[in-house]
Amino acid sequence: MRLSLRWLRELVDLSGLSPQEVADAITFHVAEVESVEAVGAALEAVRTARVLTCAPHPGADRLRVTTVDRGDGVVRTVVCGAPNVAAGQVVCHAPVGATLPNGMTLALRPIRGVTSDGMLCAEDEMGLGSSHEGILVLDPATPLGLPVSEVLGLSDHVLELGNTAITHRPDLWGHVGVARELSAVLGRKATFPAAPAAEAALEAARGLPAPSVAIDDAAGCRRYVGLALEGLRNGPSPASLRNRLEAAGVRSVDLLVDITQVVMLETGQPLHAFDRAGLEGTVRARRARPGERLVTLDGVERLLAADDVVIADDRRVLALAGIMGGRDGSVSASTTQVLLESACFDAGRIRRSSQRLALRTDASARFEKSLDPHGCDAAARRFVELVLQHVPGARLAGALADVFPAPPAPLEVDLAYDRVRRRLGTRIADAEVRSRLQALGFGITETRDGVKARVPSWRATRDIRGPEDLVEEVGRTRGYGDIQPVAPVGAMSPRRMPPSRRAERKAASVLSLELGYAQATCYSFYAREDAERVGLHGVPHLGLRNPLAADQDRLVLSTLPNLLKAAGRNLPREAGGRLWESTRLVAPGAGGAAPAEVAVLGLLAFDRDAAADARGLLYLGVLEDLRTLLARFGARRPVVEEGPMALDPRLPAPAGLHPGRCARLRVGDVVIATVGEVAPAVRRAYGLAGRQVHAEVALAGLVACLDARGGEHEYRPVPRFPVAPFDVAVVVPRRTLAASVLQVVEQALGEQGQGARVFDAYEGEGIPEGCRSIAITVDLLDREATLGTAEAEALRKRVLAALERAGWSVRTGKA
Amino acid sequence: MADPVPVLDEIRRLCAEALAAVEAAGDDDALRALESGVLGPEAPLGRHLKSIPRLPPDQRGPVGREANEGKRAIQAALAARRAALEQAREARLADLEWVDPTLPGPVRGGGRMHPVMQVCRELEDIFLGLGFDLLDGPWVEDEQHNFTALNIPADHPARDMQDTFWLQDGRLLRTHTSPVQVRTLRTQPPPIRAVALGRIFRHEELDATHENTFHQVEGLLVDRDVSAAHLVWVLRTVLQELFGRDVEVRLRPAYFPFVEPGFEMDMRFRGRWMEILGCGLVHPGVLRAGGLDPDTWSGLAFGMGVDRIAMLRHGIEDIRHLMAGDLRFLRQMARGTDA
Repeated sequence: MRLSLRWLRELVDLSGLSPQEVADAITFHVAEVESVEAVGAALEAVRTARVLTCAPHPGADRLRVTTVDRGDGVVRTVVCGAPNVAAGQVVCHAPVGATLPNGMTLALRPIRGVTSDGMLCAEDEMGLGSSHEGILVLDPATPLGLPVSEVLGLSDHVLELGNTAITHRPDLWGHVGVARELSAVLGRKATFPAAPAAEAALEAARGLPAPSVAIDDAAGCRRYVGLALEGLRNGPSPASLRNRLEAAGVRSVDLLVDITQVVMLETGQPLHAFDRAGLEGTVRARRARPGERLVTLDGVERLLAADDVVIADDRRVLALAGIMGGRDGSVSASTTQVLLESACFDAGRIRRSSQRLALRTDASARFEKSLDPHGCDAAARRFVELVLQHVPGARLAGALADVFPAPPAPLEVDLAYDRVRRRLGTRIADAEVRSRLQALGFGITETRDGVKARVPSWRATRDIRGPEDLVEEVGRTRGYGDIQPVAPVGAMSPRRMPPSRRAERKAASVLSLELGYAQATCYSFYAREDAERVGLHGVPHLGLRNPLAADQDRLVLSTLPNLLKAAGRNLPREAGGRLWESTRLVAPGAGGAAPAEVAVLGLLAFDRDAAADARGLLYLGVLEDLRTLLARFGARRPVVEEGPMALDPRLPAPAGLHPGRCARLRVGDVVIATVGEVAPAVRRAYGLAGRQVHAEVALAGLVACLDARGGEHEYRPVPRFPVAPFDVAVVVPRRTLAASVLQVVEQALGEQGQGARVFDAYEGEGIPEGCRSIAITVDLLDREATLGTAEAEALRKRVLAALERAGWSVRTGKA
Repeated sequence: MADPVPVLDEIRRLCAEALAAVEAAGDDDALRALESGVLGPEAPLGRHLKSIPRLPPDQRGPVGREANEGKRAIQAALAARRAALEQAREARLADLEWVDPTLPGPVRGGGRMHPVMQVCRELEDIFLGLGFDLLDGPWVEDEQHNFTALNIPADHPARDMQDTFWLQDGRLLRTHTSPVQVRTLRTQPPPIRAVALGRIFRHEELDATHENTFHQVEGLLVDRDVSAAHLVWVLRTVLQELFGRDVEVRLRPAYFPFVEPGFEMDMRFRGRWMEILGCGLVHPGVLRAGGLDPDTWSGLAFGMGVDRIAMLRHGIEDIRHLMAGDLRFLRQMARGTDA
């Protein structure tokens, strides 16, 4: 909402206050002023000047050579091409160096041999209109050397009031409402526009028939005021109206339309003027009928719906009520008689129609805020006043028609003085409560412990409801600056971090600080294409109805696509890296049930130079990182199994992974993480070189580990009697997991095994085709110092026998 | 049978030579070579030592004595020389093993926590310290929790304040963390002190100051006689914890449907006033929707953008950096610590 400061100054005494001071008064007591902008400043350099002499140009028939005085005693020679220039005139002179609103900067230059010191300006050159018929000639009594913007009333400041800051205040959508607030806040006198000529004319027309108007849709239209005027002549508006509209950011159309706009900007009440010549019968506010269409003023044909309120006569639909007029039936250049509409439409209906048709106008923006139905007649009178002022010969063609089936009863709110003090936490005298409410237009009656406040009609539509609303009125007009901070007092009780937060924070420390993964935040959206690329085609996703972009049209069911995109953005510069994010995967709920949100950590390691990673070191590295992560949560021996598996029954199994390099980590029966190298086809689809390894960790799994073990390791005594370890190499079929070999070894060792670990895996020369050699070091444990050489040897034999029983061939050597 | 005298002479000569060589040896390698060259089983002295058992009994004593004494003398000399050499080396250690400390070392990691998540952690710690519970809620909400129960009925223009992503199942992505307020009021008996932190979504075109995905902290305190004075204390305390003791705050009127009165809080930081958060006293309608009597209970509520705090703190000029996953950006966040 753009406010003209010049306009406000006409409505309330703001003398002695700078534009910024006025803006601050609004910001600190009413609603935020987002910006203060000086307008007309582009004309600052253009000053009034007298034409001293005017002679023909020696080198050009159409040009004149003038001398002008800007009041500073300097005589300047200016070449002028306007036919209307004459000695003695006061004109607008732009000096060399001035930049005009059209962007032109004047240079000192000869025109047909005569050097011109600036120029004399026409209206259009100063951005004042389209007239280029000649230079603008001012009143000869105008003092010289004044900025033209000041003389013409162009200099102004526009205060931009944040629209969302006044969405609850329909009364602030006009200058009068803001002036009323300033008057209350600053204690200055307000002078609201009157309509004496209109009152007199209406009084005179009282006995005449009123135009025929009706409300058929009382839920959609609360009040309809209609007025007929005749003897009109439409045309361009005078500068005084145009400047006003321009300051408020509204485009001038023609005089009659401009007057409706000026009244709206003044009072907040939108008006509409119909050309009365084309009307037939009664003009009524009714619901649109099925299949009805209307071509609105913007030239778009709109299919109407039953919920729309329309204005129609006996023959056709004239307007989409409260939103936009129809192309036919609105005023035009040839209009001589109008039916003025000043109505109050239902906020919800206007909002729904405006949203359905994606048609937002200054009028609909105001109606959807719940306008005061009591304001309709005053706005109509202001229209008449301005028409009588600007259109000679205009007159009323009948009495005022006013259909107001159910005027709302006045609203009264009880407020205890103590409530104001207790809510604001500061001392406020009873008398101040009363005077502040009165200044805002509330009618005050004292009660036993407070006041009964009669809410002014312009605040009663939605904004003011109960005592808390009045607390705010008192608080904000007074200002919140003197509220002294007071620490709340309350009962103590232990506060603990929720387990999920504890788990996530711990994981963040391990991943980011210990394992070197950089934490990213990725969007929760991706495209159908992403789901297909990573092998989730056909898996139902929760889609957005109004995506911002086609590539963000559904909620993610995998962290892989967005992490790959992040890797892709890094790859031109980085040979590799490791990223992780903490997010939620969202699976649609079945049969209207709420969707499942599964908190997961997504990890991605990428390495451009790992194209020939024959041993899968990138993959094994991420697996090792996952083991470290789980170890920090107290899960020391997660079971690693091949193949992907869903982290949650509501989620799809991970897809898009390398078939020979994907696995899951399980603790007990719970799958806590899945991991895999990204499949070549997926990698290609995202244009990534090298290899990438992706993992997802279920936060719930980490929480379960914390719960189970508190994240602590159980102490195991340090062996005091070391026994030499031995090595064994086992030749197994190639895709036998090392873990299964270790399992056989550990079973054979029983209590006396301290541990067995793989130190090499080899296939190739010396190992039969289709087989692999796994080399293991076995550590023996001797708790009682009884394990002699013979016993150790017996254990070793037991291990070898077990391995051979498993069907594998064994090669041994002492470590 | 060998004449013992020449044998003894030879042993003495070998020992003398060895001792001289030890004295002359310049480094550890030379000493090791000498050791094996003189005392090893194949060295002359070694052979003599090995041959002792095969000598006639009468010669075993003198030859053995001589050879073993020689061996001990050589070993002692070796040890002494080693110690002397080591001492000499250590005297020059500063120079010998000097390392330029400004050279790069082997790098481990490169991991960092996201700047926004670092701020989240700090906020959690601050609020826990002030006795607030940490709460969580779903990202996918229904209209009831996100709007209606917060005093924003359907067809209310205030819905425009929060452009919304609508989902195909009729639900929506939460536009603020305030629905957690509603859930808390419904499930916890007062007094309540709780904050919710987390991701929120707005249907906004991206530019330097607008994201469609960001983070918010939402706080709620409900008790008897909660006032604006308490609100100022709580929020000033939190902002001072975050930004430093010299932070000042002020309130301005503002409109949020779920509070009454509603305020915008400005903060004076680095010499400049800036808008930092929205807050207010919980609207009686919201208390009622939560099953509380607004004549008995009152509350304060606030919501603050977490991303904005991270941006202020690091001087980040463009919000789009936060979601870009650019390692050059993420690695700059040096406070990758357990703050």
